[in-house]
Amino acid sequence: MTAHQMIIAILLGFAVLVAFLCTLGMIVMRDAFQRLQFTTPVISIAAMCITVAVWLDDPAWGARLKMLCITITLFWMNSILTHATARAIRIRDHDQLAPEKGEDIHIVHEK
Amino acid sequence: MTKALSKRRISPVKALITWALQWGLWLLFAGNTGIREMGIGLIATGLATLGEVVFACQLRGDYHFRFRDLLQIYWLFWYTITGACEVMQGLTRQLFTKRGADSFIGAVPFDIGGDTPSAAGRRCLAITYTTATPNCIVFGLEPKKKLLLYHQIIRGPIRSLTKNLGARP
Amino acid sequence: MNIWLWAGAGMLFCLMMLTLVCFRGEIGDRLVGLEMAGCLASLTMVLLIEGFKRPSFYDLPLTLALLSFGSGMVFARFVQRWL
Repeated sequence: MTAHQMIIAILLGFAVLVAFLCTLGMIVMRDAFQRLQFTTPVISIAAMCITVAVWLDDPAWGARLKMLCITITLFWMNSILTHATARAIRIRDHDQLAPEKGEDIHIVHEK
Repeated sequence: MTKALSKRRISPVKALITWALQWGLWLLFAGNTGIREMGIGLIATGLATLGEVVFACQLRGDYHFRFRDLLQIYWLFWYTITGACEVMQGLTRQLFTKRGADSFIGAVPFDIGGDTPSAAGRRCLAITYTTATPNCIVFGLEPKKKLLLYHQIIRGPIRSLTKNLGARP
Repeated sequence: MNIWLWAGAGMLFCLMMLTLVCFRGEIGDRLVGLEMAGCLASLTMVLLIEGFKRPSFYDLPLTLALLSFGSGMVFARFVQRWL
């Protein structure tokens, strides 16, 4: 195995490991908000690792640019979709976005 | 009605420039400049531009992104790494401790700003950039109480990028 | 088999595990599982494309990434208002 192949293997192995851990987190977590937290590391870490691996391994610029498009699309769309989903779940559960009376929401103040 | 809430008007020149840019991107994406590809690209991007113009005209309000707000993107790399570690820490707690991972919902005072396009752009960037980082999901802005509501698995301090975009803890 | 196909198989395994999320629990939990499945499916496609050396198929994961965003937004809207 050459050094180049080893780097590709490490990148892909790390990406699959992150995806596996995030999927495991999706299964074991208790509520929807906690599950939603596990979508972001897959996009930001695993997809980035795969993008770097594609850039290292594939000399075709078409493939490289399209992979970059896929990662950028997934990254920003995931952010918007996560926000929309969290908002939808919150409104569905509480009928409103704002904290209810008696709800335990901590208002953060830093010195 | 303020200017920010009135319906937008798209100039024909702007629409034509958008169409031309989209057509160029289509040909770049296809990697082919044959006559058929150019023709189909013209039709497809024409339809897309038409849809964009119709949508933009229906949209109330405008967004303007200030350069210094857009620049906050440089924080994303650091918070992606630290946030991913925090999320994995939450997973470890859920798997190996009795108590399990937290599900912390917090609120931080936020400078909502007015109905101006730059304030709307700043709020939009605050939500997008903050939610793009692991371990912080913004699920809303409460305009009356001027709060930004968020969820974290591992409770942590307010991100610097969120503070730079309007959070006032 | 090359390293890309092994990675693709690993991702497919993760995708199968996600069915545990999508087939049980509250509707919000299932929606989150569906959104994650869309992302993983795109990445799996990329790995298989590289494994089989078929770069002309890159349009598929890109289309899936865009359309899964659209479908996720529609489902989120439905979950918020009607379901």
